Amino acid sequence: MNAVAPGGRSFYGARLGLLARPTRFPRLPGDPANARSFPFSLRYAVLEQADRSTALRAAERLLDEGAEGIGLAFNAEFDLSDALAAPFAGGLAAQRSLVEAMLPPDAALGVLAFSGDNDRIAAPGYLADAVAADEDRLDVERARDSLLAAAGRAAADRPAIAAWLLEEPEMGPFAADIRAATGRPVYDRTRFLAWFHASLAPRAFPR
Amino acid sequence: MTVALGGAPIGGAALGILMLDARFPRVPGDMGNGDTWPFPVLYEIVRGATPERVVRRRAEGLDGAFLDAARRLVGRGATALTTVCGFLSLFQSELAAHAGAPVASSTLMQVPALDRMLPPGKRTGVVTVSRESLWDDHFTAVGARADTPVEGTEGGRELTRVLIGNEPWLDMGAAEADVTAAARRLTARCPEVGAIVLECANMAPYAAAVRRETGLPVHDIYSFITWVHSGFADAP
Repeated sequence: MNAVAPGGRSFYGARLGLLARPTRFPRLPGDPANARSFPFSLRYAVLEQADRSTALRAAERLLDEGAEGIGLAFNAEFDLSDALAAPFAGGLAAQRSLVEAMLPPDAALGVLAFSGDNDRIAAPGYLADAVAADEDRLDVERARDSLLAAAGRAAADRPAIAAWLLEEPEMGPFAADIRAATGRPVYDRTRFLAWFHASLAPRAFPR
Repeated sequence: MTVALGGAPIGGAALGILMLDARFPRVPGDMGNGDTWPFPVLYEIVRGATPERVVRRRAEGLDGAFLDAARRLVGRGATALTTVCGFLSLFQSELAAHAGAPVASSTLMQVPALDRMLPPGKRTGVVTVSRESLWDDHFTAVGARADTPVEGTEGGRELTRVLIGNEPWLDMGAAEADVTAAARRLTARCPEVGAIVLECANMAPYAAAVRRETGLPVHDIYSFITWVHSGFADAP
């Protein structure tokens, strides 16, 4: 190892740039917009508006200031991987493909979202409403119960569900509760971002 | 009231690791070294699964031995399974169907996700312990593109020889040089490579060096399995 340290930046060791929305909703540990969700430092940019061009400008600025990869702390319709010079951990398709690759051929992935469609299981109720209203208080127990009720219904209706993917970042704080209640592993945006970050800072093992 | 769920003789170890029948050194950072993991794991040796047979001979005739070992791990309490060789992507579907549990057979399973995340014109490249043995179906078995760029360490002086030859000593400095040299050849030959996946589960100890020398994101089995395990853990 060379003992001469390279400079050239204003700060170091914050490799992941994470784009966040301008909200007031309480960000609990487990939500990627809570910095304590991660066992490493990262750099947030709070967007004035959550649209593509604003996000792109913010991401480019983070990269210019030293970020080595960009992630999203929220769900977006847009994907910046076609416009950035660094990898982008934002899209849901990458998360889905990673989890689905592990599952037995006859098993299903249960994707939990606030509103449902062909690919998503709806988890309406207190948590969904509180996020939509951007309230600055959250009854955590009530939020947990609303999510567990939806997961429990889905697990009973579809026994083929072998793993969960929490599509909404605000569901992340309850991942362990959903796993305990259903006995199925739970993946979410926070875990995905931690995986991504590991590629930017591979662990140095002792020799 | 809290009711605990049992059903297996061992609790608390979510991850079961299918081990090769080998004796080469497994250093910190290697899957087969218990000090690598920040969580408990269960090990099970697949008898007859020598490195040479798994890598050079496509693990031929070993399906039954792998499936039996997978069943033993699940029976002891494992809720997800992995293997110690990226070439075992060939058994992904069979293992997952048989175990009835999530299976992460190979680092190559990360390639499709990474291809979606990279900048325009960029794609994932792979560093393997044996380029000539890594065929199209090792990729397509896990949904990765068969034309994924690959470079191997077999022209080096240490790692491939020790692993495939199942030798009792490993010069880690020389092994690291083999892996970083292969990564440099890969990026020189294929400038479109925007992220590197280390196929070989024995290469994680050198991932930090590959990252340092190429400047590219490096995905190995350690970070992949840590993510797999996080689905069974309270926090990433």
